[in-house]
Amino acid sequence: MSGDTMLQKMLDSSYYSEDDALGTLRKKSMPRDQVVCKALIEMLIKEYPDISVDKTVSGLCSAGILPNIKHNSDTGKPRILITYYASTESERCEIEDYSNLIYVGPLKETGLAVVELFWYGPWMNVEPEEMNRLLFIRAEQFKPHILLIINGWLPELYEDKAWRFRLFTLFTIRTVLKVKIVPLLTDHAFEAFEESDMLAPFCDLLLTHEPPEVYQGYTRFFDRHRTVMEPVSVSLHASPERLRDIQILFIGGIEGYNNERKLGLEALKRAGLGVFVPGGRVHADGKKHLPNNEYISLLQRAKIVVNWSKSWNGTYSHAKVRIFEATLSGAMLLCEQCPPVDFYLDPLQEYIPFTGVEDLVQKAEYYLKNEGERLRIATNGHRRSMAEYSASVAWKARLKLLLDRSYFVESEAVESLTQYASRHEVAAGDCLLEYIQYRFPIEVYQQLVSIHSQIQKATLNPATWVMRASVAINAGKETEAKEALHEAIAITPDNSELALSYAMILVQAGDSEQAISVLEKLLEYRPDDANIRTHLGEILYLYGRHIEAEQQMRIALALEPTNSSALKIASKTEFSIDVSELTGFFAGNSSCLKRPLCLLLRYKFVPNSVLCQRGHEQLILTNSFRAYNIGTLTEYYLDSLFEQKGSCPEQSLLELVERIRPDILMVSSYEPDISGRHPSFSVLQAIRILYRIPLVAFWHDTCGTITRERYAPYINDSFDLHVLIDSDQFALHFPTAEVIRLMPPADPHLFYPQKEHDIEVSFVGSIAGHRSIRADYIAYLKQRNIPMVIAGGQVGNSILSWEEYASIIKRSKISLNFSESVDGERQVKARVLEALCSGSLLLESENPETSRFFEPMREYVPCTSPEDMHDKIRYYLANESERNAIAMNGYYKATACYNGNIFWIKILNRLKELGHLRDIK
Amino acid sequence: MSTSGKPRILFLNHAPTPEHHQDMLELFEMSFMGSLLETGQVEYKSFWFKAWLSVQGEFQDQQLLREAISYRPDIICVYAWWYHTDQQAAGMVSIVTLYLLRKLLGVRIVAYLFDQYCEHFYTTDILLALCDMAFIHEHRKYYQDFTQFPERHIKTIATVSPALFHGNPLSNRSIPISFVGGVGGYSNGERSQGLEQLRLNKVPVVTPGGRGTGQKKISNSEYAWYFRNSRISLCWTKHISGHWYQAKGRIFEATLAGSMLLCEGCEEVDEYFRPFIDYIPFHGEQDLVIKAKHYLQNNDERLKVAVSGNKVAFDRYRADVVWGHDATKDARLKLLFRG
Repeated sequence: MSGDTMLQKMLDSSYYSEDDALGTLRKKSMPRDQVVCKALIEMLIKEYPDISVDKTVSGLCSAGILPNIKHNSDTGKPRILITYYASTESERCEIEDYSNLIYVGPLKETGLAVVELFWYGPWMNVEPEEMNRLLFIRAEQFKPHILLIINGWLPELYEDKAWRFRLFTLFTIRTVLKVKIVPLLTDHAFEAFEESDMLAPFCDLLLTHEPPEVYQGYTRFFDRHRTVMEPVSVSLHASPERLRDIQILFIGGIEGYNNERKLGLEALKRAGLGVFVPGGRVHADGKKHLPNNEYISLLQRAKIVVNWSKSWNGTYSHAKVRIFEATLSGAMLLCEQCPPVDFYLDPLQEYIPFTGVEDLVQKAEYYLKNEGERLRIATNGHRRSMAEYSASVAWKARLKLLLDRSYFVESEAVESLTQYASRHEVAAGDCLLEYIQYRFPIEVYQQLVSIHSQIQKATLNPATWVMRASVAINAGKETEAKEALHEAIAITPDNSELALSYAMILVQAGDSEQAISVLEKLLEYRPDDANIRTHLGEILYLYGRHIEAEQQMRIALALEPTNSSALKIASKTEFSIDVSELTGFFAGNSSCLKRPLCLLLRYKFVPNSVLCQRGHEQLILTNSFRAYNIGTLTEYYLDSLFEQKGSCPEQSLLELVERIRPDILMVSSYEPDISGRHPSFSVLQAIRILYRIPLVAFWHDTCGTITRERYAPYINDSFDLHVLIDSDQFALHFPTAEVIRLMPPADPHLFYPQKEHDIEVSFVGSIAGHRSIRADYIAYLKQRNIPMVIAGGQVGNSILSWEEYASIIKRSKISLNFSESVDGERQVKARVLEALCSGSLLLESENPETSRFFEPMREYVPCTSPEDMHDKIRYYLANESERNAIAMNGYYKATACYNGNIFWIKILNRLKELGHLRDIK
Repeated sequence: MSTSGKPRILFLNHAPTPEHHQDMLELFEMSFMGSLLETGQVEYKSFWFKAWLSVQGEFQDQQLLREAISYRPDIICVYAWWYHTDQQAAGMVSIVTLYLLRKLLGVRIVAYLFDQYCEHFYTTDILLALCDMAFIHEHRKYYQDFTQFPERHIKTIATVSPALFHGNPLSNRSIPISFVGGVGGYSNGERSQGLEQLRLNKVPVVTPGGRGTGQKKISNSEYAWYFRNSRISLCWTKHISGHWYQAKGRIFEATLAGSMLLCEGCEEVDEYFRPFIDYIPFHGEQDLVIKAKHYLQNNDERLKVAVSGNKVAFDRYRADVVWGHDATKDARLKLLFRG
């Protein structure tokens, strides 16, 4: 502690800021805080009248913590809570201004109801579900008769659907608080009514300005809809006889509307009729936004107000608010004729209709010249509007309608909640229920919980989403179909039918890239599904990614050579896929055959390793077997298990064989005389004969004269099959043995391409012992400042985990490999496939073993000396596109032709050819 | 300010369960509130916000406001673990209540935050926005990236009850070496492993218990008695997260009690005590064993360190000095503070 004491600091210093405090209350207060706030303020007013709370209350109201409680004293009048959405705070200002003139302002002016507004939108700094809860709390505190949703339910206007009120929220407000729900659907037409049908079951009525023909046939809830006009502020009212200095006025948007407005206004101007176009109410299209006082003044100064009746896209006509503004402000209305306008005003008596540009110009000219007739029409229109369409008349009738009528049916709403279940609904429900739990009787809470759990259940049911997708597809709504299928796949990511349907829709919608991504994701769950690979190959081909397409088709045919779709597509394209070598194993009806049960005897750890590092045999044999679901694999570890089982390990092996009855007995790196841990040769032979199962040997390191001498007693027909992993040396020296030469497959879960290659060059492996030649190369490269990562080695203390080992290879632009083994012989290291499968460029000391399987300079790069290696590193680091091309060629070849699946299929095929595994798939 | 001229403090504490409430009452008796009250520098009241009563909604917030209006404190000292999820907020004082207290009554609000994890500074910011300042024990580097109010956080130390802890380093001590406090839960079990190593090497370490779960619960008197009667008191200094070091309250308890502090060495402790002069730092189990043995065998050396540590602690870190008033200038309290 330095400086002042704690008490001094507490008494003398302060970092308190009113702005911080109110800002935090605005952003972070919980519903409980709002409840507490109301209770404390009420307590202070009642119990401590000498404490002035007015300013504090107003601050809390502006922060949204406290509702405006003074309105609650207005008894006897209907209370209406009106919600408004605004995407930004500045938009909120514009809408607020507009609402003062139309709809809300006029209602307040009439004094017929107590009105409170609930503004919401992303600017609130709360999560959407919290906004839902705040609405409920406001409704609970204000106790309105009607919740009037003025905007915010316009899907075509508001992209962020997260900011809709959730249906569960509306349902809860309707059923728990008994507040009527009434949305006003503005600028809403045809298909939009289908969309708002989602909302309709939760509403008592739905109001719209559109004529019935616009929603008839589109909504399933026709009866619930009412066409209403837009009441305007009394401040607009003016006598037709007042002095007017504007000849013709048009206020509003010009762009769009089939260009009719633009053409009409230009024609009026050309005719020299002095049309005034000052701007509009909405700040868009570069128009001037007129404040209310200016707007009112202009209307009251106009002799003629022009109005077009078509909707923005020109598909239908409706009675715009402008017809009421014009007539109530005493101007003569010159309006595009249509039935909705004629419904409110008599043509030629109360307004002058026009049809087309020529008619517009002629009539405007006529009525400007004939002031008496203009005044007569204006007076008639004004009189009719004042009598029937003023705000007081309109709102009186509307309030009666809203209070008296209701089409709400609770059971229907509950059913709809399940039908429209979504994650947003669940989240909003969770949030609301937390609040209700502490504030309402337990039975109310429990009933809501029960409904909420139904929603949750439906959300987690892929069938819900598939059904929605199906409906959307039938309606031609691709976006909705995609969204629904996306949700379904999120629930069951391994459902191939769903994913394939989704991918096809994406392709139809022209989003092949996303379709490819969907199928690639699916392959993570079903790597051996030939059907998925076939579809993926086809989409890749259509998308122009031919090399990848060929790769997928190769794998598909390797997995299932008889797959007719794959064969058909492969034959249609220019792929040169030879499937003949793969067909043997799959020939015949395999569906009734079982997969093999294999018993593998292998080292668990690297022999002689100090730190018990798991050996490469696990990656090459076990992981590839399991990754491709070849069959069932039981392992018997030559090191650890034998040690643990004490003096009679062979007995335990025999017991195991007796117990599991394997189809194949496999032994990896067999050397009984050296280690003393391996089962004796005679025991293996006994198992082979007694249980009539084939015996397979895996040889990983076959180079060198001493090695061959050591293994000579076993490289014969004592084993049914010898699998040679690293070289052909045993095949050359032991011609009577049954051998198969295979590349060591890379573990697909460890070695795969990644986007970032932040390591220039790496070598991961040992440089000790007979591998000292590697040290010479590396020393040479280091002296010339090649940026290299050198790590690992499976012997000694500096070993890496397999994840670390794979990570270095995957991050490397170039992976080095050295093929030299003992006695100057060469072998294929596991590193070859690991580097290639990781999308890294393989740069290897020249090796005839590798070039048997991969094409030099096309699929990997060989080098002959340290100098050559150095030059090639420099070259391929500088030439990225060439490096990537070779790396990708190598990758495709390695993954298509030498993956773990093909490795095991070839072994099983050979055993079948030799007369074994008759009932094995 | 009260009629006595002393500042008036309303301590606002929070307890999630009745058991926790009881535990905290005991803890406050020997540190924090207790230590301040003993110094007689303030008038005070305490208000416990009992989470288990939160079903009564706003009731406790109303009671608190009434209490504050009636008592008119200069400072409200909020002692809190402040996580403030919606669930937890139900059992805590509302931030609106704090706002009204600050705004309408003009009471300064000071938070006292203990044992925070880095990420907690996000949520304590909700509280801090309503406060004049907060006292914490952590170094600025652990919170400055997590809070928007770094300047409102003021580092201080734990203060302990003079009556319970103050002791004379030269007095007879029957316990050779002890560790008083929680053993489990700290990084890699280093406390338990260190104690195990001492025992394996025949160092007779005593571990009477503490406040931790699964431990033998000891009273405040017992807790302080072990410090006053141990020749050497052990201390590990890692935060419970294991991510950083702290100047634990134990370093002041041990030195004020006159015991030689054998403590895991770190910058945080060195800020208050000089290594090898006021306390003996150790690094790792082996070092701990060697130093424990050495200072038990060389009592003169041990005493030298204990006396030096006690002097520094008494001069700078005793409760009255830290809180604000040197009680040794008051004849009535002098004896009590000399231990």
